Amino acid sequence: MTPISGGERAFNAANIAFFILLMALMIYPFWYMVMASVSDPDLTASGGLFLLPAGFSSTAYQAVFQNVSILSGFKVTIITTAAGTLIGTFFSAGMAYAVSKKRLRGGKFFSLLILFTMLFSGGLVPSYLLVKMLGLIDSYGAFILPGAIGAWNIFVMISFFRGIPDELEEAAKIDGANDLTVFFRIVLPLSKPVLATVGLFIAVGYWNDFFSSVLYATEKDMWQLQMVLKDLISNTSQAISQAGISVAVQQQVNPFTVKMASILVSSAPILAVYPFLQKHFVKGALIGSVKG
Amino acid sequence: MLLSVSLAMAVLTAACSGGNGNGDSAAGNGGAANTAALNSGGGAKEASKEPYKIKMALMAGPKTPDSWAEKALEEELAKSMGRPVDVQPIFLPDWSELNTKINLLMSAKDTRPGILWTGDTKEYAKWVDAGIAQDVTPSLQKYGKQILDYYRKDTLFYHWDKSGKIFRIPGDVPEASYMTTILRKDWLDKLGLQVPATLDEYVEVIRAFANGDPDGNGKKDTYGISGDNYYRSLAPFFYANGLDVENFVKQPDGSIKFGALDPKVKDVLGLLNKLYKEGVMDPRMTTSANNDDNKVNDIYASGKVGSFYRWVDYFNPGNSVNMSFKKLNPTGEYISVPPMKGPDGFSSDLPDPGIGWCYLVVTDATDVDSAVQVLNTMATPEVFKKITFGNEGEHYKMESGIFTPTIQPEEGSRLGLGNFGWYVQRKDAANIKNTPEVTKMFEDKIATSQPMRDKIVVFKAIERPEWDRYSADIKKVRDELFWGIITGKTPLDAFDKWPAQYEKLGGKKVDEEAAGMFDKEQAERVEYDKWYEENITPYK
Repeated sequence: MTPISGGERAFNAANIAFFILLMALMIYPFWYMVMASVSDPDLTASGGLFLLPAGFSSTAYQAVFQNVSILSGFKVTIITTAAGTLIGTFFSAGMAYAVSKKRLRGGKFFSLLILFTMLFSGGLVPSYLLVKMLGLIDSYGAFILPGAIGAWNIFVMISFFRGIPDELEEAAKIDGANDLTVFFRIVLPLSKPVLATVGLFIAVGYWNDFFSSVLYATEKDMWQLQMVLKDLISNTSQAISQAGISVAVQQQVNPFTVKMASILVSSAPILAVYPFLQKHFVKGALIGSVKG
Repeated sequence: MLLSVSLAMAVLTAACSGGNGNGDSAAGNGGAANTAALNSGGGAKEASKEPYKIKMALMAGPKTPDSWAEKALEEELAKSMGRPVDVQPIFLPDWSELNTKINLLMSAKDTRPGILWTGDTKEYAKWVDAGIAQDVTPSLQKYGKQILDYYRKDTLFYHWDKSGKIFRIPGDVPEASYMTTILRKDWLDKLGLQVPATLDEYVEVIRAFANGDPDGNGKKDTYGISGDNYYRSLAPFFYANGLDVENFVKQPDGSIKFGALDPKVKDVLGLLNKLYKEGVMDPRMTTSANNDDNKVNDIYASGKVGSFYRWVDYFNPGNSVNMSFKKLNPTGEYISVPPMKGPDGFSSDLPDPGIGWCYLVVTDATDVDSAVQVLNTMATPEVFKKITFGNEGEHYKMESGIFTPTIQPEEGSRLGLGNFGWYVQRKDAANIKNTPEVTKMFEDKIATSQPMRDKIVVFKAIERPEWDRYSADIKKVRDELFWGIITGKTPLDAFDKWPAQYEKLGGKKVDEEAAGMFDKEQAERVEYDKWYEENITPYK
């Protein structure tokens, strides 16, 4: 084994130091959020927060969890994310598989049709009117269906499916499998990386979605979590600064610590899921990008 | 074939994201049917057995669905209207998406709330033109005594249409003046200083606050004055000189002029620059980061600044910023003092224009008489107190005029207290949250803000095309120049070029438009006065 020279050692040390610093830069904002969310709001105001919490207070989390709409927000978002991810992934895969096959008549036309939705959208008001006329206002359908199929996701999947050797399919067909069997028994099991990647994209999209509630919910029980949190953070403080007036019922908590607690509450579930999907995610995204 | 089926299903699903909906559908139109029945019923009397359903767009408070406050309001409405009332709240989303939601709701009759709460929006003129916003004058005459009694004649002028109709009612009009000069009383005592009465004395006091170590920690870590990055925080300097750099100001010869062009502004900027250089002025107030109200509240609570020009509401013991200050500075004490007198003896607090900042529009989706009855009932002091603060003895107690909640804020949110805020929000004695001292401060400020109220021009017109076109550039250059001079980045003499810059940026057109509007609105006011005497005064 070649001994490490002084220069190399210095380079390694500098490298390690650099990456530790980089890591700290990435981690510190998150750490700061955690600390701020459990800090005493008054002490946070006086600027005493750096690495450890300034005092200790759970008022921010109490404000978040005692808000009557948080639980309904969680319910709506979890149902939307779970159902939306299943529906979105399934239909995206179905469409991508069909279009990826050269023998599909009009395949190019369908590809262009998908591409068209990437470049042009119906617009806000027409989309709203469509959902309203379908009777989907204040229903899960309004949150799930409009965003279920994304052109970009389909193109990623098309690239992946084109990488699966046709011989596998032919062999299955010789054994008597039909298209559906091939799709479910051969193609989907081989496509876990791309399914995980697209599934995660879709899930994060649904989880972070608040705008669908703005558009399609009139009942507060149907507000998604992000919408409830956004409202919780901004409403009182914004009212004061915009209008320069006092608000009748003012929360006795610091909006800053509530904001930090809200961000953590809303991002924790996705952070918990991410490590399990990460290996698929990296693989799937790479395959999609290289073969595009 | 199976491929095609799969594709067809996917295309069907994808269609939801991009299609353009045309044609009519009865789906989800229950509300419209109900409204139609109400409208055809010809008002409250014939439909007295039927519950009156009213959709109300709500923005304030905790936005709690199916709340105690909602039921309490329904009971009060049933009593006053003599028929069951079903209040159906539509909670509006947060401020950033507010107008999007309102525009969508207003796009179809079946989604339109009967009473729309809205902020300033140019859509309002379109709603009036399209017949969506209803004239409430006849209904106010019949059922709106509380509303007519509460709002001043001057306030209603800004909501009066020259066709002799009123298409919107103000939802919340701030107090006549809600900001005040605030000083650290304990610092004055410690440094042996008197409460200043003139601008010169005030400058000496804030200098002492910055340099005299008033917190006694041996460090130079205090500032004389702080606040947000708006000119209102500098009111003690500008208003003592009769200057307002944000508005058009009436001149002695009867004309009007953009206040930022007044040559006396240069002297004030020079003084502020000195105070900045000396470290008397908090440098944080010269950056837009301080436009975040929470940030200034934190500075206020930290107790390191001797003076602010800020909210009267801070003097309510229950104000959260005041409570934070007391917690961090147990011996600290802020006091409110009268506005500083300038070299000519002029003084004034910041006046509110008295227009209101949010409005209530009764739409064509409901019966206007009934909607006005709802609003009038909400405007009565008893109902306002009930839906805003709860029941006395159950949710709060009053001791020596001081309002003390007996429930936790979370419980108040669960009850929906404040849900119906900004629906004729009372700022008089019915606002029991204010202590008697604070109520008196607000009353006193009507007089102390009058001098600037007499000078500032408040335009009624929503449409100001030239102002809309040029004001962003004008304000940008003004702010860069003024804050540049204050912080020493721009020499004071640069102010001399400002009037020419203003003209170059479209100021001449803005001036012409303003002068034209001023004359027109003066004439309109004469018409309004006559209309008011005939149509409102007899019904008060």
